[in-house]
Amino acid sequence: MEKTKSPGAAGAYLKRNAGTIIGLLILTAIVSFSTPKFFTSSNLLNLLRSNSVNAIISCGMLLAILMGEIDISVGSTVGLTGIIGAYMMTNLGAPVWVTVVSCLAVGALVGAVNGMAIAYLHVPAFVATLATQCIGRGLTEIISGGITIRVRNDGYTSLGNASIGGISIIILYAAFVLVMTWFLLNKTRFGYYIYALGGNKTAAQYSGVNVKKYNMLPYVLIGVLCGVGGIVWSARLGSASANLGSGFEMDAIAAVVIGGTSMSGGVGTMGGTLIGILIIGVITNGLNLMQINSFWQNVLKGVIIMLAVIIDVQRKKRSSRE
Amino acid sequence: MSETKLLEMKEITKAFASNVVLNGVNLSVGEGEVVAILGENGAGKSTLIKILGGIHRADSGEIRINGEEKQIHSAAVAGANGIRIIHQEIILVPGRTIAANVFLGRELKNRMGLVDAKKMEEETQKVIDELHLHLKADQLVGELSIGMQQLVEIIKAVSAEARIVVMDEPTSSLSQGEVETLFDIIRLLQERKVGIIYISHRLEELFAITDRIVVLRDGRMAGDVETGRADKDELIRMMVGRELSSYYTRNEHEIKGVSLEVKGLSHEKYFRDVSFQAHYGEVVGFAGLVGARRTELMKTIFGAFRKSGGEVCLDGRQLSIRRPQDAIDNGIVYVSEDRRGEGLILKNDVEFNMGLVCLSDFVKGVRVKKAAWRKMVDDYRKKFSIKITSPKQLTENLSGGNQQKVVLSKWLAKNPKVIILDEPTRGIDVGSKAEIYAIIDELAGAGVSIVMVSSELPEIINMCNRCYVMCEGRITGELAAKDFSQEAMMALATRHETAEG
Repeated sequence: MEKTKSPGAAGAYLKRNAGTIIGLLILTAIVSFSTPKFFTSSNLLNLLRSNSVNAIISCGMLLAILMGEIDISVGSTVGLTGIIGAYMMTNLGAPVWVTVVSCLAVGALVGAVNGMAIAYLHVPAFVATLATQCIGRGLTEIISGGITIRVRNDGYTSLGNASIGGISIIILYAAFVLVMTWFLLNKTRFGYYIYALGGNKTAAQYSGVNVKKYNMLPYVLIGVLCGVGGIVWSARLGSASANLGSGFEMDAIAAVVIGGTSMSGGVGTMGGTLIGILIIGVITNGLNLMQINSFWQNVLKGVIIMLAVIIDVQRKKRSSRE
Repeated sequence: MSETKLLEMKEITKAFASNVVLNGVNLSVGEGEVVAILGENGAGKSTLIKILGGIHRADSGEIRINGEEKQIHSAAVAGANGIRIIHQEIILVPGRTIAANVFLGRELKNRMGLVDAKKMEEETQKVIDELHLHLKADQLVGELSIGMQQLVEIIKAVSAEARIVVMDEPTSSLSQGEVETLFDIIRLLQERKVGIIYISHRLEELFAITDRIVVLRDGRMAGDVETGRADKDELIRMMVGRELSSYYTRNEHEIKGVSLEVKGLSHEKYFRDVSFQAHYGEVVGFAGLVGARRTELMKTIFGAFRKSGGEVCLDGRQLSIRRPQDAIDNGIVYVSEDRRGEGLILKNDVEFNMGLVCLSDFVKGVRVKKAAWRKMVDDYRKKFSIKITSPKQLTENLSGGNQQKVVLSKWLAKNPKVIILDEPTRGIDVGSKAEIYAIIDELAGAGVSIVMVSSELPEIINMCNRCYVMCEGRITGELAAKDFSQEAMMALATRHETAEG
C-alpha cells in the first residue's frame, strides 16, 4: 500500500510490481528497437498526453475495483459531460467556469446515482453502472442531435491544449489526480475504509465503518473524475460528438487489472495501476508508430491483458505456497 | 505390529522452505478404528492430513494402505484409494440438492449419456436412510442448518464408499443433538470397518468416541495412547509440552453496578421478549444449543440486526442503536463468532486490522498518523504475546489463536464498557484458549462488563459469575454460579415451547 520516497519503500515498490515493471521494460525495448521514433522526447510527451485521460479515469476505476466492484459507466459519463461542455459553450454561450462547474456537477450526479443504487439499494455494481452507461450514452446522443458540436471558445479549448514549460497541461492534470488518489488511499481514513470494504464488508461494518456512505462516496468521486475527462477531451479536440469516450472503461479496467489489483477487492495499489496505465500507453503508442492498424492493436491489447493477469496469478500462487 | 493396518503413515517428514512442519510422524488406523489427532494449532495436524489427501507431498516417509505402499500425489488419487477428507469449512454448492452435491464430480449417467437425477436421488436417499437421518435427497443444501450441511459431507463420503474418513473439527458448528447424531454415524461406520481419523480440540469428545489418541507437538510425535488409558491432564501436557498451571483463570472480582440492561428485546424472525442484565466486573454467560438465537440476540444489541421491539439501556440510560457504529460509540462492542467472515479482513495485515475500529483516533486533519497506530499495535502484540513475524503479516496466515488476539486487540483499543464475546475460543488451540481466558479474567478485574456466548458448557461453568440459558429465541432460565451444572444447563437449553412447536 505504501509508496514513499524512502529507499526501503522504493525497494518494496519495485519488488511488489516486479512482474509488471519488467513487462513494461520489455515492451518499451521492443518498441524502441522497432522504431527510432519512439525514444524521442516529443513522442514520449505525446504518449503521456494521449494517455492522460485514461490515467484520470483509471484512478477512479481503481477505487471501484478495490471495493470489489466495478464502474462500467465511466466512458459514457465522459461522453455525457464532454457533450454538455461543448453544448453549453457553443449553443448556450455560457462562461467557461459555469460550464466547467456544470460538467463536474453532472459527473458527480451520475456517480451519486451509481453510488445510491449500489450502496443503498443493493443493486450489483455491474448492473447499476450498465444501466447508467446506457442512460448516459442515450442522453449524449440526444444532446448532440447526432452531429459533432464544435467549440470555438479559446478559453475552453485552452483547458485541453495549454502547456506549462513545454509540458501539456493535461499531463499535469493526470499527475495531480494520480498523486491525490495515492494520498487518498494511503494517508486518509477514507482510503483505509475503501480497502476495508473491499477486503471484508461485514467486518468493516461490524468495526463501526459506515459502509453505505463509504461505498457510495467513491462513485461520486469517479463521476467527478469522468467530468474532468469529459472537459479535457472535448477541450482538446475542440469538439464533442455522440460517441465521445466510448470504450474508455475497457482501457481503465485493463490498466487497473494489469497493475495487479484483485477483481475481488481489497488488494491493489495506485503505484501498480500507474504501471498498468503506462503499459497500455506504450502498446497504443508503439503500435501506432509501427503503423499497425487499430484492429490489430485491440487483439494485442487483449493478449497482453490476459498474459499480465496469468503471470500475476501464478506469482501470487507461488508466494502463498511459501 | 504384525497385522496389516488399513492405513499406515510412517516416518512422515515435510518441510516448507527451511521450516520443518512434520518430523518423523507415524499414524496408523485399523479397520473400524477411530483415531484422534490432537495438537495445538501449528503442531502439523493439517499438514499431515493434506499429505494423506494428496494436497501436499511428503519429503520422506511412506504411506501404506492395506500394507501396500501408495504414492498419493493428487486429491484424485487419494479419492481412488478410498480416502475422504471432511474439511472444517463446508465445501458444498448451496443452490443444489443434497443428491447433486453427494454425486458432484461422479454423476450417474443413464443410457443416453445424460445425468440421471432420479437414480442419484434414490442412491442418496438410501444412504440417508441407512444413517437414520431425517433428510430428503431432493432438499436444497442451502436450506439446511450448518450442522446438517456437515452431515451431508458425511453422506457424500459414505456414498462414495470411503475406506478412510478424516473429520477435521467436525463438531465445531454442531449443536449437542447433532453431535449425538454424528457419533451414531461414526459408530455405524466403525461397524462397516471404515477407519476414521478424528481431529478435535474438544477433549471430552475424544474420550467419548475415539479408540486411540495421537498427540503432535511442533511437528513431532508427542504421544500415541489408547483412549481408555489416557488422562486429560496428561494429554494437555503432551500437547503443550509444559504444565498448564491452570487452564481456566478465574479470580474473584468486585461486581459493581448494572451496565447493560436489555428489556423485552424482540426481533421479527429470531427471538422475542428477551430481558437480561449485566454488571461491571462480571462475566455473564449465554448458554444454549446452536439455533438458540444467542448470536442473533447479540448482533441485535450491537445494531447489526434491526430490533422489532424492546429497549437496550446502558448505565440506566436508554440507547438508540441503529447500526454497529452507534453501539461502539456508546462503549458496547461485539466480538463475532465468525472470526474470518466478520472479524478480520484476511487479505490485510495485522496492523491494518488492529487499527480499524479506532482509526478515527489516529486521524489528524485529513491524514492518518502512523506513529500512534504502530505504538498501539506494538503494545498489544507484547501484551497478548501475539506471534507474528511483523505487523505487516497478513492475518489470513495467522493461527486461530493469534487471529483471535488480533481481533480482541482491535476492540480493546476502544476501551469498551461492555464487551460481547461470541464463542471466543472457537477453533483455537488449548494454549491460546488458556491465554484468552486469562485476558477475559483480567478485563473483568478492570471492571469491564463481559457477556460471553459459548456452546462449550465447561467454559461457561468455569468462567462465568452467572449465566442465562436460551432456547429457540427465548431466555429459558438464569443460573447463579453455585447452581452451575451441565445437566441444569442442558435441561434449560432443551426446554422447547410446546404450544407452537
